[in-house]
Amino acid sequence: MGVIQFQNVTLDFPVKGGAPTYLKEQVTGRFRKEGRKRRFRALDAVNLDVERGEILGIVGPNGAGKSTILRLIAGIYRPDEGTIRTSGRCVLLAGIGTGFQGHLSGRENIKLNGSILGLTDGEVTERMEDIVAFSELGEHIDQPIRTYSMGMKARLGFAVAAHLEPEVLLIDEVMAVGDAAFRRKCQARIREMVSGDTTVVIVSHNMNTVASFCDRALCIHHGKVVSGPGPVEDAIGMYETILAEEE
Amino acid sequence: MGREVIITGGRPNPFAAPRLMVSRLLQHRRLVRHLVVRDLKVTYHGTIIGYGWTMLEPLLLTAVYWAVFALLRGNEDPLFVLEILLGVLVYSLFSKTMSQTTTGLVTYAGLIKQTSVPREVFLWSAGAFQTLRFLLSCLVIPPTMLILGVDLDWTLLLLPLMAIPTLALAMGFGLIGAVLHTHVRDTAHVVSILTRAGFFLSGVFFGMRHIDPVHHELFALNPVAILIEMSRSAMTGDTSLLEVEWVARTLIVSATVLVLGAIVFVRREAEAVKHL
Repeated sequence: MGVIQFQNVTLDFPVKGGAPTYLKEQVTGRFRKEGRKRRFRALDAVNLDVERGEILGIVGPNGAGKSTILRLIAGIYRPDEGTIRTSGRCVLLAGIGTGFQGHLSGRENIKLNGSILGLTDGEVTERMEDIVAFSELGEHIDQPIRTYSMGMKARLGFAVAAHLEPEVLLIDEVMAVGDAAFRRKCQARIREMVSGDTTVVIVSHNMNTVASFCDRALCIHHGKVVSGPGPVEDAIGMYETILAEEE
Repeated sequence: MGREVIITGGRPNPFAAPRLMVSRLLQHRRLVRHLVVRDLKVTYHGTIIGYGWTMLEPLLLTAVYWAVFALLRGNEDPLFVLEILLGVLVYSLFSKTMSQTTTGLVTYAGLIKQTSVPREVFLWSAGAFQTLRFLLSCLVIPPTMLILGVDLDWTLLLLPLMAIPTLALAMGFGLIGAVLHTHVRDTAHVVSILTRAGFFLSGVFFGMRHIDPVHHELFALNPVAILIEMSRSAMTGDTSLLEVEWVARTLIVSATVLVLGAIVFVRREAEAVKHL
């Protein structure tokens, strides 16, 4: 049995008219046909089976539903129909450094961010010096992170994420962090993480990343899987065909 | 092999919802603690006396009330100043918890869409932070009583317990408000107006002893007013103006609102998150 299983997973999102933001729209919307609940089908009966230790790539145009699949695996969204089975701790790497607090020091933010991402206090303490060393922030680590540049914040965020050791790692376009040297370091770290038992799902628009990292890939378009999961080159080929048709 | 998680469509059973919320909070109690510590550090960041403000603020408020009521209006009763102070503290706990919880899902939208932390963790951390502020502020009550020449009674030890039903009531309303606020963004404005109106209707600046006994039953229908009266009784040890029936009703209402809030939140939060 796979570590991640999707059975006919369907997810709808409310769209304008279906999601009135203010009271006036909510009230007047009741009396207008276009104001009643309208939904956008983000995923349509998706089936998926990812084995332990496998690296799956997900490609597709913008708005196809790639990131939504990752968020469903992570338990952020609940499907409207179908069933999702996951096994082990899932960690989503997206929006590196989300939840950082500007007035707290780098070290305090490591504790907070680690806790948000599921590490125990003991695990954070144990990994603190490794995280600090990986971030290459030196003495800045004890300064409030409002004094950090965007690159420094991204490095700190990735350093925490890189020391989580999850069973299932979900990567959403976060392979391009910091300068060229740090990016190489990040990619080496991800390779290290995926070389073990970790199951990885990568969403990326960079086909080189998908081709070099993934064992299998799928292409998704308008919420439906149109290719795979199967050979990486098939999914990339389908993605390029869709892009060519849209142009 | 890690723990298997099965996620399906549909809403959790309403009878299981409160227990589900409790188990999620217990599982993430360390994160609640981290978020409360973060809020404390951020709130008092850059101030000279830091956390001391949690105690200095009520002391300064007491001085203002004493100036207004004792000096200007000639009210010599030192208890009156303390009653107002306690009314302000209890009502602040209620109103700040409710308003912060109501806007909680929208405030934490960035984190909620990136992490699988149960959403109620963020809302309860706001409630825990306000409770901690209330408890720290209560530390100024005994010395202020001594300064104003009011005798200390052992029932004062019950004062911190008043935070429990107050928090329960505020969190219950806030959990429902949080779900509503993702659908209708006017909710926060409505809550703001209601809490301001409630400030004048809950006996913050007056108490049961200032109301005509004919209206006591009506006044006692407001659970926040009774919570404030209960706190005042804990401070003075005088329960002559509190009926057991009012206290029991208030405690039952607080617990019921909390359970209802938990049921609504657990069943509706998955849909609410789609509106963020």
